[in-house]
Amino acid sequence: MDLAILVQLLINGILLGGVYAMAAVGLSLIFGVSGVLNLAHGEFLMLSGFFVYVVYDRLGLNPFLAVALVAPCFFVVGYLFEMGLIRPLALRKEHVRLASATLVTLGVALIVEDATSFASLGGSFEKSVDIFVPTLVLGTVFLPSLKLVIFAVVLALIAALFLFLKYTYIGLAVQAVTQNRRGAVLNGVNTFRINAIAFGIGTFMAAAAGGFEVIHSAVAPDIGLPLTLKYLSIIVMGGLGSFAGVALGGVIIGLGEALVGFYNPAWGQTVAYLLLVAILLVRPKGLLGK
Amino acid sequence: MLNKSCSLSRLGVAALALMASLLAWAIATPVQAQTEILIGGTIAQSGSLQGIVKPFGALGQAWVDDVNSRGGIYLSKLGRKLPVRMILYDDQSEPPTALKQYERLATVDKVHLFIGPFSSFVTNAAMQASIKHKIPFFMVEANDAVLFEENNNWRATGLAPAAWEYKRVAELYKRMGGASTFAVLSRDNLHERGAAQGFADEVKRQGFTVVYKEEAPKDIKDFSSIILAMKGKNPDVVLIEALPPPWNIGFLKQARELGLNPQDIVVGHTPIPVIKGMGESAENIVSSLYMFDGDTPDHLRFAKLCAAAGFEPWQYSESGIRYRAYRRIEDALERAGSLDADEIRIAMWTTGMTLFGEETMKHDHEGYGTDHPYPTQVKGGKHVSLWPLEKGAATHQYKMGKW
Amino acid sequence: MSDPLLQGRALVRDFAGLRALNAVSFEVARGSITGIIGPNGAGKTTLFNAITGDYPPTAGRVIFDRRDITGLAPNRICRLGISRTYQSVRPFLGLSVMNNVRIGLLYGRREALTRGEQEREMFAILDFMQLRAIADKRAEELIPLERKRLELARALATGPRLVLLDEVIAGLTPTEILSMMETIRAINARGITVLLIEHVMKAVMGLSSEVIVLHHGEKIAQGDPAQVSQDPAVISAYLGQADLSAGLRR
Repeated sequence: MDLAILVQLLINGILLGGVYAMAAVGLSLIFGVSGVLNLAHGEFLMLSGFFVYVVYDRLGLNPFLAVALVAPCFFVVGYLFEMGLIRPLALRKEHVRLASATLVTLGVALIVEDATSFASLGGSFEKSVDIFVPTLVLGTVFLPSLKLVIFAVVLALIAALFLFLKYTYIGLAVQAVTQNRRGAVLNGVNTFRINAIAFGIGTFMAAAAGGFEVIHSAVAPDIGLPLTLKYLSIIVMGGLGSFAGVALGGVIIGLGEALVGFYNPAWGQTVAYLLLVAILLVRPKGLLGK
Repeated sequence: MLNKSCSLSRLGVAALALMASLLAWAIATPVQAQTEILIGGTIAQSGSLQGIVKPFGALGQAWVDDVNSRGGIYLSKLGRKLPVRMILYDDQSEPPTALKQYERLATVDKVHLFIGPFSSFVTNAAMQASIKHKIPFFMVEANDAVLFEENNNWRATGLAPAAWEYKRVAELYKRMGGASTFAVLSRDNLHERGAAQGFADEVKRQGFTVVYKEEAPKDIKDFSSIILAMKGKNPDVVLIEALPPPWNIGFLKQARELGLNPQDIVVGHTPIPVIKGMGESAENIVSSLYMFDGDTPDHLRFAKLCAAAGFEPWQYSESGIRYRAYRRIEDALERAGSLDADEIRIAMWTTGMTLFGEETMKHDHEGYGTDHPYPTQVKGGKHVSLWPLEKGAATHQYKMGKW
Repeated sequence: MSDPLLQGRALVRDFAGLRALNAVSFEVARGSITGIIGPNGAGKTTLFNAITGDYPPTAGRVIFDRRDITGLAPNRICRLGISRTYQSVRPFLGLSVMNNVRIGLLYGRREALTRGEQEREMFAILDFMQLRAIADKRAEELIPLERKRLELARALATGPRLVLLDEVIAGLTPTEILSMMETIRAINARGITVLLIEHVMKAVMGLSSEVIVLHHGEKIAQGDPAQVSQDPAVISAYLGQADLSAGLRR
C-alpha cells in the first residue's frame, strides 16, 4: 500500500474513532455508575441531531452554535429519563433491577425509532446540515477540516469530563458510586441523584455526538440501534471502568474499519466485532479494564 | 261473501306486491354493484416509507377526480361509463398490516381490483390477498425478483427489472461522449445490487470500462476507504446506488472532503434531503427519475395531477410509476369492457399501450413491465430532465469535480 | 436500661422463606462498647443490615436516640449519626486514602462543614487512624491492616454517634489485635458508642461492657461478659467451639 494512502487511512480512522469515543464514553459513564446498559443511547443521539438541524434550519444559527444550545438540553432529558423510568425500578432486587432497566431502555429505543419514522416534520426525518469547510491538504494527504474541528471538540469534552470527575465534589461522588455503590450510600451519598447526573452527562455526550453526526454526515430514524451496538462493543473492548480504555477502543475500531475497509467494505464493518473477540480472548477484562 | 273476497284480494295484492319487490330487489342488487368501479389499495402514510410516498394518496384522489370529471371509464359490455372510487388504507410501511388491509378490501369493501403499495417487500405480503380472492393486482413500485418466484397470473408490475434502472443513463453517456471509465458503488441490498450490476453491464455493452465496482454494508458510516480506493482508479464517472438519503449524504460529504473530483457523479436517489444536505455541491449531480419533459397528453395530465396533489414530479420521483399504474388500470378496464375479474386480469397482461409518446408498456411472461427511469440533473436545487437524448446531451453539464 | 442510644424492638428479617432474625429485641447503652457474638449464621450481620437500612427489617422497629429510623434510606441513617464497617473491606479502590475519607466528610455529616473545617477534620482523622503518611496512596495499594484502618477512618468521617464494627479484628496478628483494641477504646473515649460483631472472644470480652448473644436468629442472652460466659444456653450454643471455651475461661 502506498504510504500516502496509509497515512490517509490512519488519519481517517483516528478521526472516526474519536467521534465514536465520545458517545461511547457517555454510555460507559452511565453503565459504570448505575449499572444500566442504556440501549436508548443512540436514540438520544439521533434526536439531538434532528433538533440541531431544526435549530440550524429555522433560526439560521451556525451549526456548532446549534449543538452548543441543543446538547446541554439533553442533560436534562437524560436526568429526567433516569428519574422517570429507571429509578422506579430501583426497589427491586439487584439482578432483576438491572435486567428490567436495560429492557426498559430497549423499549424506549424501539418506541423512539418508530415514532420518529411516523413523524413528518417538514417532510421526512432524514436530515443533514449543509456545511462545508475546505479541506486542508498537506501534499497528497487530505485533512477534512470539519472532522478535525469535531475531533478537537470531542477531545475537549472528554478532557472536561475527566477534570470534572477528578476535581469536583460531585465528580468525586460519581467515582465513589462507580467503585463501591454500597459504600457510597453508607457514606451519605444520594446515589439516586448521582445516577441521574450520570445519565444526564452521558446523554449530553450522546447529544453532542448526534449534533456532530448531522453536521458531518446525516441522521435518520434508524441510525440509533446500530450505533448503540457499536458503542457497547467499544465499551466492552476498552474495559469497564476506564475512559481511556473506551477512547482507545474507539480509535482501534475506527482504524480497523478504515484499514480493512480499504480492501473490502463489508469486512471493514465486521472487523470491529472480530477485534472485540480477539481482544477479549487475550484480555478478558478489556484493554484497560479493572 | 263480499268481505271474504275483499280480504282475499287484499291478501293477494299484498302477496303480489311482496313478490314484485323481492324480484325487483333481486334484480336490483347486481345492478347496484355495477354503478361504480371500486379500486382498493394501501399506501404508506406513516412508518419508514412515508417520506417517499406521502402525497400519493392525494395523487390517487386527483386521478380519480380527473377520470370522474369525464364521467368515468367506458365499459363496452355494460354500454356505459362508470365512475371510479378508490379506497386507500395506511399500511404503515408494514407488510402484515398491508395484508390485513387487502383482505379487508377484498371481503368487506369488495373491490374490483387492487392497486399495489409502495415497495417490493410490502407488495410481497399484499399479493397473498389477491391470489386468495382472485382479484387482479396492479403492482406499482415493486420489481424485486422475489415477487416473481412463483407463477402467479393475478399480478403484474409496470416496472422493468432492477437491472434496467440505469439503462438510459448509460445511453446518455454514450451519446454525449467525454467519459469512458466508470466506478460503481451500491448498498448491499437486493434491489441496489441488481440496479448497480445492470448499470455496469450496460456500460460495458456501450463500450466503456468499469474500473471499480463494490458493494458496501448498510450500516457503514465511514466511506473514506472506499473513496481512496476509487481515487486510485481515477474514474470519469462515479455512480452511487443506495436508497436511504443518509447513506448517499455520507458518501457525498466525505467524497467532497477527501478530494474525489470525478467529471460526473450519478446518485440514483437524490430526493430533497440529499439536495438540501449537500447545498451548492448538489449542483450538476446526475440522477435517474421516472419523468422527462414533453408535451404529450400524458405529460400534461401527469403534471396536472401532481399539481393537484401539491408537488412537482421530481420531488417524489416514484409518482411517475404511480401515474403509469393508473394508466394501466384505465387501459385494462377499457379493453376488458366489464368488471369481471378474469377479463380484467387478461387485459392487464395483454396490454401494449403507448405512454408519454414513446414508451411501449408490455409485460413479459414473468410479470415484469417496461417502465424504467430517465436521466436528470440537479440544477438550482431542482431536477431537470435530460431526455430525450439530444436535448439531454445538450443540457447536461459535466460536474468537472466542482463541489 | 434507661434512655438507650439504640433499641431494637422485635426485629424480624425474612429472606424468601428463611427467617434470619426472629423477634430480636435489644438495647445499646449510650457511650458503651457493646459486643454481639454468636455462631456462624446466627444473624449478626443481618442485624447490622437491619439497623443501617441496607436490608430493612421485615417487621419490628429500630429506634435510634428516641427516633424511629426503621426503613429509612441508608444515606439518611448515615446522616442521622450511624456508620459501619464491613466484614469484607470495600474502600473506593481507585481513589486515594484521602479522597476515600473525604466522601464521608462531604456527604455523610449531619451538618455541613466549611472548607476549612473539612480539611482540619480530615487530617485529624487520618492522624488518629495513622493514615497520614499514606494519605496519597490509592486504596487498592494498601495492605490489609491499612485497609482496615481506612475502613474505620471512613466510618469516622461521617461524624457518627454510633459506629457498627463488623469483625474488624478478624485476620490480624496478635500485636495488630492489641493495637486495634486500643484504637476502638480511643474511638469510644471520644464519646462514640460502639457496637461490634466479633469472633475473637478475647477482644470482645475485653472491650465490651455489655454482650448480646445471637443464635439461629434469636437473642439467647444479654448481659456483661462474665454473666454471658456462664450462661448455660450460650455455652451449649457454642459447645465444641474452641475459641469460645478459651475466651470463656477468664
